[in-house]
Amino acid sequence: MMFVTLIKKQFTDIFQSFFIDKKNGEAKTKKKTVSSIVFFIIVMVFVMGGLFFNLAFTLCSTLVSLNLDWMYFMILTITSVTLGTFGSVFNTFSTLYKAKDNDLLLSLPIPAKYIILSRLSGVYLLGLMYSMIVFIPAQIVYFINKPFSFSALLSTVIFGIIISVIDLVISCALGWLVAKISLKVKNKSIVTVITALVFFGVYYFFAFKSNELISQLLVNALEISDTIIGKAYVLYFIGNAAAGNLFNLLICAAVSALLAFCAYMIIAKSFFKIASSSQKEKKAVYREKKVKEKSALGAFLSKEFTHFIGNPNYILNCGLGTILIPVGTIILAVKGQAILQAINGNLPELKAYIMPVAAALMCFMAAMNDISAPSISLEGKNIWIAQSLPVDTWTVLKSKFYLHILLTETPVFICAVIISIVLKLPVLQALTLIIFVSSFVCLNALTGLFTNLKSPNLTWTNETIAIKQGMSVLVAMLGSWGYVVVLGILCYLSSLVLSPALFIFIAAVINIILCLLLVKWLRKKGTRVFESL
Amino acid sequence: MLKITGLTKKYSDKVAVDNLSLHIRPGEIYGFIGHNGAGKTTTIKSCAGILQFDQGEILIDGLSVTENPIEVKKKIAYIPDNPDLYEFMTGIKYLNFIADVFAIDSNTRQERIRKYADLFELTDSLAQAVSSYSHGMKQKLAIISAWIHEPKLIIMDEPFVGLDPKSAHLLKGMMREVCDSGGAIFFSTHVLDVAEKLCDKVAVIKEGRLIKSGTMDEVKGDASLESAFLEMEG
Repeated sequence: MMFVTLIKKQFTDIFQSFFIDKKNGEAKTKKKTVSSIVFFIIVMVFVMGGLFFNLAFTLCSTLVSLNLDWMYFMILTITSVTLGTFGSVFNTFSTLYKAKDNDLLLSLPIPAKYIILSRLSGVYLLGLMYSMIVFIPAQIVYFINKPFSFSALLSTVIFGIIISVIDLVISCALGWLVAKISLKVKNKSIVTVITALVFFGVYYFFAFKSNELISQLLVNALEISDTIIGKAYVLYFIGNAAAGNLFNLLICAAVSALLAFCAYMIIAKSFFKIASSSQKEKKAVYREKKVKEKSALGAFLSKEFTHFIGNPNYILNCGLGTILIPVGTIILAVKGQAILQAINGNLPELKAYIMPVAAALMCFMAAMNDISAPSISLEGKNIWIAQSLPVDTWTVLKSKFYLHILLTETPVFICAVIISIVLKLPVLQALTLIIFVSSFVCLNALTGLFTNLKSPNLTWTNETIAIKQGMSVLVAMLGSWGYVVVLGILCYLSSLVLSPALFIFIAAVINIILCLLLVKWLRKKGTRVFESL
Repeated sequence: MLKITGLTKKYSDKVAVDNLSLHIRPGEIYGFIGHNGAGKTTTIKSCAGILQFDQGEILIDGLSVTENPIEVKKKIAYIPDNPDLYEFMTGIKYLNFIADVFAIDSNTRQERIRKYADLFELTDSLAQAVSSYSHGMKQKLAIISAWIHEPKLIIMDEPFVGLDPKSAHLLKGMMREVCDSGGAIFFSTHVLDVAEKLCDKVAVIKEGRLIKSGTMDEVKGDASLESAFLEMEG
């Protein structure tokens, strides 16, 4: 009974977003709960499941016709375990190593093994959920291509359990690794950002290359099969187990059970140590040193910067442009000449639009930075500090604006200069381009502040809500992109009466006028809104 | 030092503070007591210049809170009932941030930080993130930041909550020092024993209205402050 209660608590933790509104911490209405569950099922079954159905269909008929059933299962087993592991690894870290109720549960008369097993049940469930998104479509597609038998179904169920157990073991091992790294690393947010970017990079690389990789695999299936049998026999062995080979299946089941038992024993042995691992973090020691005095604006700007770099979610959701603009600049600098030659050779009529297109691309990248858009909401319960200090509100708002400008304008300016050189733009056009994109960045920053003052959310329970779910962030980003699209359409439509370069100049003037209007509003009304929050 | 005249603040139809007047002179520790929701925090926030009120006037050192907010805020320090500080900063970064805003030179701020952080035994933790602080540590940091610019008037909402006995004792001493050097303290509390021993004057607020104010003897008479308060509350 006690164990069941613990498992219930664990599952409630995992699925609490279905029942609790993160914005205000209150219980969701039945209607909202049902709609979020339905939405989740649609995403998991139809979107993600559909994706893997497609992959399974592409692979299955060819590989089965070549009698390479084991290879089909091997590929989908690896995919399934990878998805299951990545889906649950961060949950493992937080449930096993960062659980806030460890002290509470340990103080109650509950055997430690119940606590560990209930925690692991949560990890297991998540891993199972994610791995089955691949495993179930793979099996369905296999049974469509091969005659159905009860023994095949039984071996499928057994192998499904093996996969979920392997997921659990790998998640525990990786969770332990994440815990170890996080104890050692000083700049956790920067490491998180870099890890996330590497992960996205790898994901997008494979997503773009997946069709090519699958076609290569299908064309060279027999050669690849020989190589795997020769050099990675374990994969062949696992593939055969999944395909229904009873001996292999039993060995895999025994090995996975042994691994799970070992993982449990290791965790059980070190649970008390794990439960108090946060106390083992090395605390920074204060050493007095001479400080450089700052102006009030400098102090607030420094505060905004510290906040920005201290929160990986803020960087990844609102500051990706700062990283992507230099990457885009390098790509354009390298490929620019080739693109230019291709346009000159094949589409000479497009030559006049090179500058507007370059401007639009830069604006799209710059609009990925919405640093100012959640900045008022992020004050949250701390807003009393800025309100009670002897500093005028415009200075507080300016610090938020300047952070956006510093982190966006600098790479955008360098990008505009390099692109002007690479595209060999005449000086006047280059200047127009620089003024246009710079004024666009200012407009974007000011719009962010404006929208956030119009729809602030100071009552969040987690900063991520202000960053990800804020209306101002959505409006600022989509609004900026929409604005660029509208300008692009107008540029094209007006090409009979205005040259594209002249249009961009006029657009720059419009940007500047809008900026001035927004500054006027922010100084006069915006400050009053901030003071009354 | 602090003169409140006819302060009225409404939230929609509800009158939170109704025509409240108080006068706190230099050298006075002025306690502000009342049950939950009586209007203490609203009054305190209005005095600190972070809440706009509907009627009345608040003067600090002769300057109006509404007309000269920046000049007024230079003279005061405010500590809210809950020490919500910038969790993404370290303790020392937060103190330097406050010192920068008050334009305190480097040597002076270091001297004061050293003095108060040592006093509250917070020096070793100054390099750690505020997010790792306990409630009491945050309260101590808020107190140090309030004292860092040597304000003339310190306005505090429940300053003793979360403080250990030693820190509470230190704070009482620091409050007395401010008043001895010509400053003033205006604070709310539910700890009537503390108010009775520490305050020169006390004001009792009920449902937004000031029901009694004056010296401790005037308010409580021969009874204890607790008995007098409970009698006033009915």
